Amino acid sequence: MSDSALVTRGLAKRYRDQWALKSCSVDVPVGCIAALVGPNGAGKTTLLQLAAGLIRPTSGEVNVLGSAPYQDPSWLAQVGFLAQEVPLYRRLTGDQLLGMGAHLNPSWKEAVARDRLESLGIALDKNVSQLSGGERAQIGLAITLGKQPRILLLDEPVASLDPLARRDFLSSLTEAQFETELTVVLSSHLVADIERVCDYLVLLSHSQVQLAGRIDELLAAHRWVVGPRQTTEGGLAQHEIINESHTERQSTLMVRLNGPIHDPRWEVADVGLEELVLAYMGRKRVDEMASNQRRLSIVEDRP
Amino acid sequence: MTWLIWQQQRRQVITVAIALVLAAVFLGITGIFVEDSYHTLVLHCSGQAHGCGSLSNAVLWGGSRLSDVVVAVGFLTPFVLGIFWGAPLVAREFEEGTHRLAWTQSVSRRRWLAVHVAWTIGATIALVSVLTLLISWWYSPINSAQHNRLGSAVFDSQGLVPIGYAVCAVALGVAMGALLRRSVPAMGMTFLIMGVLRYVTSEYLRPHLLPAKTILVALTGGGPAPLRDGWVLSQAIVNAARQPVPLLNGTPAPSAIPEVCRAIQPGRQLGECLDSHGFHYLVAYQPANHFWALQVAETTLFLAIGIVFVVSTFWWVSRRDA
Repeated sequence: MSDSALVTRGLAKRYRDQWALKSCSVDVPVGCIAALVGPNGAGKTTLLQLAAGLIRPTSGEVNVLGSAPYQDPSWLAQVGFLAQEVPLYRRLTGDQLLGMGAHLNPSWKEAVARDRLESLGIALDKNVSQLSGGERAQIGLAITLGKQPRILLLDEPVASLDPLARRDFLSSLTEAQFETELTVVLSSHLVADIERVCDYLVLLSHSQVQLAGRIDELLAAHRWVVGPRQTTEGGLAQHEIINESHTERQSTLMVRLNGPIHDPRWEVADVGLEELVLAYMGRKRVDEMASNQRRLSIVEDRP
Repeated sequence: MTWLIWQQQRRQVITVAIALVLAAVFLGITGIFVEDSYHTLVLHCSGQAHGCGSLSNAVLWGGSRLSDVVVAVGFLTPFVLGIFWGAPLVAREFEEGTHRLAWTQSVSRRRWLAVHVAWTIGATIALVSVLTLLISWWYSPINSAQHNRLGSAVFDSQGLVPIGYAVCAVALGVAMGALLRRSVPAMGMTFLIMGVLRYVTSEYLRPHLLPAKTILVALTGGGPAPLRDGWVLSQAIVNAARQPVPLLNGTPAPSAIPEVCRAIQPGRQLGECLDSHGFHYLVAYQPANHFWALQVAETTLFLAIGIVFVVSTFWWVSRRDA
């Protein structure tokens, strides 16, 4: 727990007049497989690209493996990045791309990349433009893994893989992490996958971090509570209400615990990861609502 | 890095090499004929100063369109290289997103760019040097017959300047690609900016790259020998005090000439009258022997502009977001 692989403090990135990421502070420990979840446009790709040193922060700090991303071969060698669209030189063959990996990375392990692709039966002598999207994704992953990085930054790595390839890829991540203390930060929409392999969660929404922490601790800190309608808020004042829904007679709340719930009127149940993710993704931030209201009043003021 | 560039550009390099060999064969064969006709037609009439020039023109230059084509190839090659080698070099990576692949290997962006630019410019220099040598050799009999090879497309396609133009055009193409991140706009801007640079240089800058020589010529003389080979920049009629004389319908205004000459109708007699009163043509020109000095000056200028483009490319690529 002492070492962090990825640390950001007040990290922000603005594209023209739009904030892609705002006041982002996360702390991903070494050896974690961290999931980056959130709706489309929440800033997941921006965070990963900032960590990979592809883009520069507008403000704040990002620190990967002990230093800010910079254009130095020894730092670059430790960081594996795979962009969402899996860019590859389309006129080259798989063999040539593996050759590129070997020539451009001092810590390259040919066997790691080649065995993977051969066991998947991917033709390495064809131009990659002739391969399917899933096969290209596998080649991209193989190059990233062959580099033997200490941290892997993967932008929706499984999006174009079939279920079998996805399972296989995720288990190979777990193996690699177990063997080499690899840290992985991956973005994904598939909560079932995350639940299986990830132990750390960063939830982004509206360009901001809504929730971050070890998944087991997050689950332990949240509860569903169900009780009669009239008792809303009653006895829950010290807890943070994440999400609430009401029927005529009954209220269902997700709360972030701040101490035990003593009130016997509430029935308490554990939350699942998917429920937690959905609750936070659906949540509107207070400051967000306030600024929306301001914007509304400006609109109304117009003649 | 070099290995990767070779894998990517292999086909293109081989294609260009084959095209160059074909061009060499073609220029070699036709060049022998040019040389041959020069020897038979021009050298045999070297005794007579007049008439030979026009004869050689008719045979070597005006008689066929071939020499126009050869000059055009030399003139246009730097544009072609800037547009098709320079502009897509970085822009294509941005278009296909592969810059995110290249820049996340264990190689800094600076080194990545340095190796790409070095090989592209190296190949450009090699290609243009060979082509320009061929064209210069092919054209040398015509040069001898024509005398003037300054201030025209002939100057632009021989000697050293094509190398300067080509390096500058490729560097400009790379810079435009890094700036605009799209191949086609980068190609367009490369053509446009390079065209303006070359037009401005040949029209307005080249005459002044070296101090022009001036010479006084009698109004009735046939013109002194150095002017036949030189590049005349300006010509004015001056009086005995070396003051320019205002002209009226191409002849000195009556008010500006001595009274004794005023009555004479424009023509040879007027010329003789003015000559005897110290009137002259004042001609500013670049002599033919300035050819190499002008070539070196202009090449240096374009190489310097090219360096500015390369430096800006490095600045853009290492600063900007991927």
